[in-house]
Amino acid sequence: MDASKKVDLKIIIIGALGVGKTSLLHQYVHKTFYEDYRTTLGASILTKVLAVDNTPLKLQIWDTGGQERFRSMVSTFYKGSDGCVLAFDVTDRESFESLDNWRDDFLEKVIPREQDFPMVVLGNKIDICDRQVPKEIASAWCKEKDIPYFEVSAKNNINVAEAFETLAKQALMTHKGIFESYLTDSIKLTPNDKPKKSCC
Amino acid sequence: AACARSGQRVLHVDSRNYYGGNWASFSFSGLLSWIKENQQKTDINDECEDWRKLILENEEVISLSKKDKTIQHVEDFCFGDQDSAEDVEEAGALPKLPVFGASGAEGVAQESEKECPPVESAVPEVESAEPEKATGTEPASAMEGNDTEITSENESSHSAALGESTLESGKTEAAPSEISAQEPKKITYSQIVREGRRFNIDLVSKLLYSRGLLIDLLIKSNVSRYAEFKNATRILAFREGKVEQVPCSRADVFNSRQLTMVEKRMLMKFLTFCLDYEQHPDEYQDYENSTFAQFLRTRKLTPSLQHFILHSIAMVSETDCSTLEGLQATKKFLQCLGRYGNTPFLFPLYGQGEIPQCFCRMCAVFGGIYCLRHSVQCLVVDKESGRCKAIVDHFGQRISANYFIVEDSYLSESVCTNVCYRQISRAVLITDQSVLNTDSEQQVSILTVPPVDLGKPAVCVIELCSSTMTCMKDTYLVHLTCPSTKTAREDLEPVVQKLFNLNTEKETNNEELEKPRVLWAVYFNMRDSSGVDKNSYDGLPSNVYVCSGPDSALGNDCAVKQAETIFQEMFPTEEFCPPPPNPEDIIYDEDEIVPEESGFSNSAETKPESSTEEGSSGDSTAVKKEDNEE
Repeated sequence: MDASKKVDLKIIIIGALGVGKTSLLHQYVHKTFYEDYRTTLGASILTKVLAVDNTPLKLQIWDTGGQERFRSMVSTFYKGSDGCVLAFDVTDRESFESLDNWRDDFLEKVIPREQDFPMVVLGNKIDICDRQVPKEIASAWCKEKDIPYFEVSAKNNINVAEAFETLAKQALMTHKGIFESYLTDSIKLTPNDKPKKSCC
Repeated sequence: AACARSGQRVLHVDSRNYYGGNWASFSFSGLLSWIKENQQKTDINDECEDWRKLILENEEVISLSKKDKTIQHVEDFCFGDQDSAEDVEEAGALPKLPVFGASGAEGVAQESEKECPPVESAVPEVESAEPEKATGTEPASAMEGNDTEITSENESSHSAALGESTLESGKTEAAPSEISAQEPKKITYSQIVREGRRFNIDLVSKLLYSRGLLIDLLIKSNVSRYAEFKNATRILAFREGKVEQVPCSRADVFNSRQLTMVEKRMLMKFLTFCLDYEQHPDEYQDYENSTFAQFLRTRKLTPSLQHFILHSIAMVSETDCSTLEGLQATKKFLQCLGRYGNTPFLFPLYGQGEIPQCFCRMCAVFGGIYCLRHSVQCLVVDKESGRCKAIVDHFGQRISANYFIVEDSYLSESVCTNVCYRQISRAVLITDQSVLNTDSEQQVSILTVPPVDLGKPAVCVIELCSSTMTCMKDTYLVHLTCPSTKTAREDLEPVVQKLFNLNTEKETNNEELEKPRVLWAVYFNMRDSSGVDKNSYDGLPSNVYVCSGPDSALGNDCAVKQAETIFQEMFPTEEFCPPPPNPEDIIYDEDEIVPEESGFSNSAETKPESSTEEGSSGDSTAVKKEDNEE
């Protein structure tokens, strides 16, 4: 890998409250899962470095920070994103039904691009028996929108990596095709020193 | 954000459906909606009557303002081809567009970078599905958006098709400078509407000093992760009717072809002195009672160098600025050179409106709750203690809290009767060329135009290229700002006329041909509530803090200082935005957080909206209703 040629991609994850977005991210990045649903504080961007087609990729995955609760996402969340993970909970019908809204919201807020935005849909919590959303229905919805669908479980780590990697591949392909990407070479501010952790 | 970080429970509400209030930025159609809203005089009267039942005997109420009155004298102008302006509408333009498109395509078929036919027949962008935005002042719930959303879904596929053509047109522009030299790109109004989402138009025009409070805060709190920046690439001056580039760094001065050798030596000598002027008091102490302009005349500097220094580097008044102030301002400018680029300034990708949102996100990440489209009726005050206890929102809900931060614009007229506000005159233009054409089209420039009448303020002009992601390809977004003397149009149009061509193609004479053409413009006055003493507000409890709207200065020091001041008043022992723990660390248990968090860093939140921090009963929590950095 030529580290200097690493491609930075911004991925966002959206979906109703409680579907498991943060858990999915943590399973993918840290390979950890916490049973209790708690407000996760402090987690906002997770980074995953991987190689796709010999290209080193740095995925910057933005978590919502809980702003989806009242549909009050900052638009800066959407700007500059290269791909989107749409998540719902297979045991929660409403979370599936709101996918349309989430997808529309995303398409409305991103700056229009030449090609369709890379997207994947994740039906999470397949480890729980009490399903409300059959696989066929979810697949049909996704097929209609031409979005890859993955049945996943953050808890048991089923299909999570595959889903993200598929999205990463799509996002990379799209990214390469963007004429304007060279224009947005920008300055990213970083602290000069590593921030010090204070003791409790 | 600072409060959320220090373990307080924060609720942030905003009556609008967007973040930032007067700090926000909009797409083109979003701005048109905003303009319309501000040109209308209607009062909103959707009060929920039952809320009075929630007020107890021992409590009294401070009502909040129903309508924002901070924006005035909004005037917008379209200079595009008359026909195109008529045919294009935000919504429902579908049937007409192909007709126009045919003639449009003919007219511009000669230019290689024109869009392909498919674009012409494309449906207007998703913007037309955004009528919801215009009704931002109503507390519409997200669920009501169903109809709108269906429409936008259809349109989004069209805009994807639209995008493809844009890519193609972009690609044919392989040698941009050559093509533009031959044939001026003819951008039409309808194209602007179509590409409207590529515009991110800020209501506030500012830059970040590379060594300044805001940059320092962004880095310290790590909020910088959420944003990216571009360098301002040029400092410009307007002298004797012409726009010139000002060399300010050592390299610029050395390479400048406009300055003579003598001038180069003079300038370098003077700037070097300024950089640590305090060490040479003998050089300026005789002039401490003079203006900086007078002082400059005594230094060995040609008139053009004096102009550059006074107006484009120090950026101070010719009549009202003392020698010391001028030297300090020059020093500040010089110290910022070279940190990130050749000029002292950075500009956020996607516009200034990103900055408040970055802080909002940080607050949310640390537990802050966000509710847009959520208005507040009033503050509830305990008669005995005189402290504010709760708010009542537009849904008739009563929310208790300990602290309240309110943005100035939410306060009612009676509370603000004694407040003397200044105003800021603003103009935003969409143009087709830079004010100063050089080999590179992608420039971010700042130009200070001195006043014609001495004593009036200078006008600050910031020109943004498309790679700042604030305007579409082949256009520039130009912001003009000055403290108001009259209406924005009266204050700024003379400057616009000097720099730009406001005529239609037919009327343009030879002289004007060289100047960039204005395709669209808006003027408006914005209230400047900065620097208002808290005591000027009538009858506010001590635990209610007022946050001001934007100020007219170029940098963001005012807002940052205010945020820190308010935060320290509320929590004198807490640190304001210390560095956060490793962003990858997850903190799961909320209960454990409070004692630990106080040891961790706090982050400042920039929120130009009204926000209320909610405290649940029993907990000692901070509540803020704020509209600025906090």
